[in-house]
Amino acid sequence: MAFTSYVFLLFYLTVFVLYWVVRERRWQNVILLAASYIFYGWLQPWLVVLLGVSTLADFFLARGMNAYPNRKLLFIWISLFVNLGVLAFFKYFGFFREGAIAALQSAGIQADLFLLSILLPAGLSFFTLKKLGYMIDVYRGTLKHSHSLIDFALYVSFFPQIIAGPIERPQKLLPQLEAPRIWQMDYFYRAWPLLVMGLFKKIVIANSIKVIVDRVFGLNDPTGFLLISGALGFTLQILADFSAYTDLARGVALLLGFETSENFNRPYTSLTPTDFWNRWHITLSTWLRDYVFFPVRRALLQSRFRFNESIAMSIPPIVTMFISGLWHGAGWTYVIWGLYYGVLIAAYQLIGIRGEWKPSSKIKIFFAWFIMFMFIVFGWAIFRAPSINWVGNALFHSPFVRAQNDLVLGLIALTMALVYSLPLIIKMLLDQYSKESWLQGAYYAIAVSLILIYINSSSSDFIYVQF
Amino acid sequence: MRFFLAQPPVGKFILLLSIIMVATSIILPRRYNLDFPRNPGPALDAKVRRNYIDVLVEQEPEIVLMGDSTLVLGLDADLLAQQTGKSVYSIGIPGSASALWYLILKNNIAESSYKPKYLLVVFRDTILTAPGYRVHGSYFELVDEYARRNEPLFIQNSFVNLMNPLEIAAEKYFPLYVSRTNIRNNIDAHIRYFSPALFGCDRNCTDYAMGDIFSGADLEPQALVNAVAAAESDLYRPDQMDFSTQVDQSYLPEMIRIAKQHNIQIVFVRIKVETVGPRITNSPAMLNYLDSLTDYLANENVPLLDFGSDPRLTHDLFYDSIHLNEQGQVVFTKMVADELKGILK
Repeated sequence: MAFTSYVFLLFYLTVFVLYWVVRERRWQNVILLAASYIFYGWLQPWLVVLLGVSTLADFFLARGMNAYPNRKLLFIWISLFVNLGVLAFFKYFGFFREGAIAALQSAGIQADLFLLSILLPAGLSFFTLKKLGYMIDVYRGTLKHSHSLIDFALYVSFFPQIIAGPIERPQKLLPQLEAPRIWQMDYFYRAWPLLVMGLFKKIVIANSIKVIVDRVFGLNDPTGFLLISGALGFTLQILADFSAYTDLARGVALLLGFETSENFNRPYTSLTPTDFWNRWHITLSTWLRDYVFFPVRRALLQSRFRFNESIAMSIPPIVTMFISGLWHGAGWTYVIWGLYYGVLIAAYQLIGIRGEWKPSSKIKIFFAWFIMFMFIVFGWAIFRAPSINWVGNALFHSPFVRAQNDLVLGLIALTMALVYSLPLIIKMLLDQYSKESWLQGAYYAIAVSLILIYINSSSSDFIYVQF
Repeated sequence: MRFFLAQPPVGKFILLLSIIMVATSIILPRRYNLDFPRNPGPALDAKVRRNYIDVLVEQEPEIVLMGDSTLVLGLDADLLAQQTGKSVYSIGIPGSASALWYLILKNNIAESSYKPKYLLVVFRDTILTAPGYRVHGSYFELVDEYARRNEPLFIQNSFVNLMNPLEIAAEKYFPLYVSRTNIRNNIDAHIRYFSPALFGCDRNCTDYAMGDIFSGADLEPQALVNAVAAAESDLYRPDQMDFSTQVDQSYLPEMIRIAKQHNIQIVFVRIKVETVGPRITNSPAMLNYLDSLTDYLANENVPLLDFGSDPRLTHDLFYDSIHLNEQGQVVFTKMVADELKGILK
């Protein structure tokens, strides 16, 4: 059930009315929980079983940690094993599927339908991280376990977030679930700009640029110029698409009285890779920082072996970003993309450029931004490419421009990227320099008009749903 | 009102949006010659292509084949004629589907002074009961060529039945929404032609380049598989595999009726494809669909030649996941010819 579909509109209106009519917190949570499970199981009802069983397991394991403190380690290991095992099974099965089928067939065994049909359940990567964050915090003693199964199950399955985040931390969402909620007009005043921007970015920007980006990245043998123009297009598409989902998720949650986390903070204005990851997919970055980066660095610092400082500085970001790449998918492009950022962060740090670094002059700022933006675009080229060989071929073997057709396609892709990025740039400038509400009002009015012009009943899924 | 306008910036937003809506409601109906309220669905032009009428009169084929690219690459008309001893003419239109086949049958074949004895419709899986398949976007131009200005069944089946109540209301009363395709095409054209023109590539040059690039040549193999699978996935949605619901909203009953009315023996030929795996083709929903289709056609005394899961069409006979290769074409044509011999008189 996509946020931009008519079915979701009907579903949400029903939930919204029931939810605010009830007024009593416990029943509100029951309604939201039921709605979340209906939302999640809409296309594949069996997914609800997976979600329910894994939620029950973590709820009781967390209670077990509280009841039997001396067995905390055992319980956290069970949770890690179950959560990561399920994630690895579904996410990385495809990686080995062809080999497994070939091996079975060579042994004279026909691969059965089940083996051929295992698909990644939508949202699994997101709610697994939510649950793991909860379990690790309960284990560390920085979070009290939830006493209510309904509240915990709702934290895990909260429908605005379950498919593609934000990966909300329990410290932020659980207290809101445990507090009474009464309708305030303020919810509406804060939610509607998010909803308009979400629909605008998805329907007008992301879906428009997608057509040409898909074509460029579908070419068998692209030229260097096409790679650059396609990568620039994808750089815009993925920001518009993913931030649209987050805006819609936040707007939908706000109308139900929940304040949820921002995921983007003008990521393409970053000056350094660390800065970029502090601004891009913020909830994933902070999750990885707290549960991977810091523990790895702590382990290195406390290790009996005295690591060279350069190595001690380089290993944590490389490991963290490698895991980030793996989290995004079972493909070499994701792994290399993750490692690319790990190496980039380490390299910047080694030359003394940290996250908060800011050059003194405007010219230096511009060059720092330009270099980082090029790194970002190249990173997205790796991320979107069908294979690493494909990128290598475009960069090192194909000519920069081969024929007029390539030039035309590349120019159109560049023009589209430029034209469709303008609304985002204008919004950024408006937010920064003009809070004057007539201009903001005009922006949103034009955005809604464009949504009506660009709307298409068969709009595509959000990119991050696949992760 | 004052309170509303004071809420930054919602009041101003609604006021400005209302102004835009009123302005476009005055300007757009004049600009695009629209009357409101109007019937939902796209406007069809009065022009109708009748090219097959002349061909049928000229060639007088006993068998006419109709289908999309799976027919073009899957059945060899000359070989079929040789195998059956009947003259054969093939109407194979890449990108076509049941809506276009219905329109060609109604506005070309049925209107020709010469009627073929047999009409073989080559289809795959649920395409016969998917009236919304391949009629939107760029397919619309192709379908519109064979439609008259007034095609109530086509508009109802391929458009109105697929709209939700909000879309129907917007189509009836909302000029900005109704004009969206025209406005969007204008915006796209400006974006598309602007930068190539700076390098001396005019509209024709750009259209040629885009046509060449989007033709499918030089596509990365996996991207081609993904593109075909994405395009075909509509045919395998759970609602599409519900025959009893779909059939009354499809062109199948009307195609059979028109054929019977004109004494044309219509024969449906299900071709094998490899776009979806056995998880879908062997699913209970798909098997139920095929059983229902078989029963429906049997009740109508319409023959169905089902090669959809024929083991003789092996993987090596396919060019890609949907089309047969040259060798596959020969094998399949002979298979169809063998089966047809029992039907042809």
